[in-house]
Amino acid sequence: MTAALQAEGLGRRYRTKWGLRDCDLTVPEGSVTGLVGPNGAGKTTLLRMAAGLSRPTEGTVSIFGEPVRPNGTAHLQRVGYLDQLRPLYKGFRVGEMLAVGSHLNTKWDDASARKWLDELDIPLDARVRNLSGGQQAQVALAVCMAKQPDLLLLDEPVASLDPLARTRLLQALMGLVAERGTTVLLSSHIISELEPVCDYLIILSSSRVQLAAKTDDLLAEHRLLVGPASEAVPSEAQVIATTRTPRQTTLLVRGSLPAPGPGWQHLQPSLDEVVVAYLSNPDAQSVEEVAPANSSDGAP
Amino acid sequence: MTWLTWRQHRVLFAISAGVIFAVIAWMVVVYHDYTVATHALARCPTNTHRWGVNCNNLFGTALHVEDQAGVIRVLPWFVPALLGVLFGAPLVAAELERNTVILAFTQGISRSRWLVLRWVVVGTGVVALSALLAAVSNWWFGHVDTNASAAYPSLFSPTVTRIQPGFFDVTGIVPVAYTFFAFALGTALGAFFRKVFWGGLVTVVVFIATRVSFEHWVRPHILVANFRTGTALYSPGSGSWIIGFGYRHIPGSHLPSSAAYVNNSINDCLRPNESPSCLASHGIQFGEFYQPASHYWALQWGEAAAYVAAAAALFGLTVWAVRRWRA
Repeated sequence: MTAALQAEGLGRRYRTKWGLRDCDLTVPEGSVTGLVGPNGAGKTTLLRMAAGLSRPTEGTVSIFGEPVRPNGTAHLQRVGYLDQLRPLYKGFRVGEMLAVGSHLNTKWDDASARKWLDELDIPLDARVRNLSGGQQAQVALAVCMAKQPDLLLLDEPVASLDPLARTRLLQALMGLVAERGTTVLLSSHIISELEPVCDYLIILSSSRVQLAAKTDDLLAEHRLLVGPASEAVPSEAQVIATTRTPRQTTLLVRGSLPAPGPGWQHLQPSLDEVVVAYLSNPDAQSVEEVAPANSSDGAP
Repeated sequence: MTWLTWRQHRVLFAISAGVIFAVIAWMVVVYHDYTVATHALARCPTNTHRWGVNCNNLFGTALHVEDQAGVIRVLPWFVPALLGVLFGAPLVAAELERNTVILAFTQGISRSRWLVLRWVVVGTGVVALSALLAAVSNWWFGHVDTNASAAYPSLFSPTVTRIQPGFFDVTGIVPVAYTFFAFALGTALGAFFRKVFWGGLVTVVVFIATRVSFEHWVRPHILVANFRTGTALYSPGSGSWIIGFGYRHIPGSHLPSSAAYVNNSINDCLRPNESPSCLASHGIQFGEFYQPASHYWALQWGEAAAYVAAAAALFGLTVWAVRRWRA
């Protein structure tokens, strides 16, 4: 399996502070990968370096095997990028924004962009500055997707969308992956929505990669242990996070477990609960190696 | 990219073109009035005490036209800086301020291509507008001042001599070179400051400083100045630009020509009275340095080439700044 995006030792420093450090990750081709983490964790920094807008302070980032060079053109045709600022020419009409995309890109699917906007009731002759925030985000998305990229980098694409629009977008992204094998890397805060869509998850915390794994494996490997408040913690388990209330103790543990003791329940955690547990415990780390295509070692 | 650049600049270009056409129309009207007034005045008696009502009225009209002509003489001085700042400062800086470069740099064209095409398209438009105004200025300055000032030197401005400062800058080809330079300067400073306001402000300051410095220190020396002495001194007219007065070593004299020798000789001759014969015995003469009217085009081409070269260097700097920019 080739990597759509590969980062090795990637880091970026802003004057004295590191926005991202020691970042090693691989985004599998053809996957929908979720990038989650608290504000300031380095999600935007990572995406901007991948898009060629920033130069790394250390390390490298490659797209489909080619290192990303900010002044190069190799990656431009293959990557679609949606920035969190949703930059658009505010004085332009929506139709003119599509014309911008068609003039500046070699591949351009005008019909699908128009269809997308039409289904959202966004008129083509409306001026961008007169649209709501969510509508502007949809226009920016349409421009981004219509260039038919092989890799879509989306910085919080669902943040300003209403719930119905969010569902539509995530379904459309899955459709792109299924039809054309597009790789999607999207960052988000709303993990519960990522759960049905993402097959790979990366957690960034404190400017480092805390976890990178397939979501199926994550859910299979973790259990929620709920037991009485006074009971001791089973010692063999690798505890990721503990929540104690006067009435009960809740633990998120990793790894195989013996049968639950008296008073204890083993439950399947949601992806949200797994992610929150890891974010609350910065020391817990789990990075799954995704073997590159030419490696002679088997995947762990 | 051409379409995008035009779409972003069409309003500004339309307004600038409108203003320039309005100025040109005004110049044509003033020329027409000027010609009519001076022809009519030519039929009035030379002795102004014998003027009747008609001649007095004509004179009033002529003065009014002259006021307008006075404004038109000054106007083209501002046009290069204005065009350069209006089109140049926002070219890169506006996109950086509004973060739309993030959109532009993640489509299918490289940063260099984006900048070069933008710069060339807008630069061509700016140069074209400036060339149009320069062409009309050349015609206007050639016609307006010669007739009336010859007849009524006390009332109208003295005969225009193209090579003199004030008129050199608004005729010939240098106005186009100034505009090109101001545009390149605006773009480069906008890219450097990443803000339209500061880019524009500093462009105006640097542009004025450059123009004044170049005119004072470089232009007099583009071609070696002529020298004259004796009875030809202090005579206006003849259309030449007097750069200054001073001493020089008499060409062909066997006496030394070093600066130290010249200074010592001047000191020796100060007492009792500085006389040409004393100076001559030291191989030195006093006179005026001037650029004759025949040097006009050489100075024009020399100055235009210098400004265009500076603009090219600024363009290179802009490309470097854009390639270097990081989100």
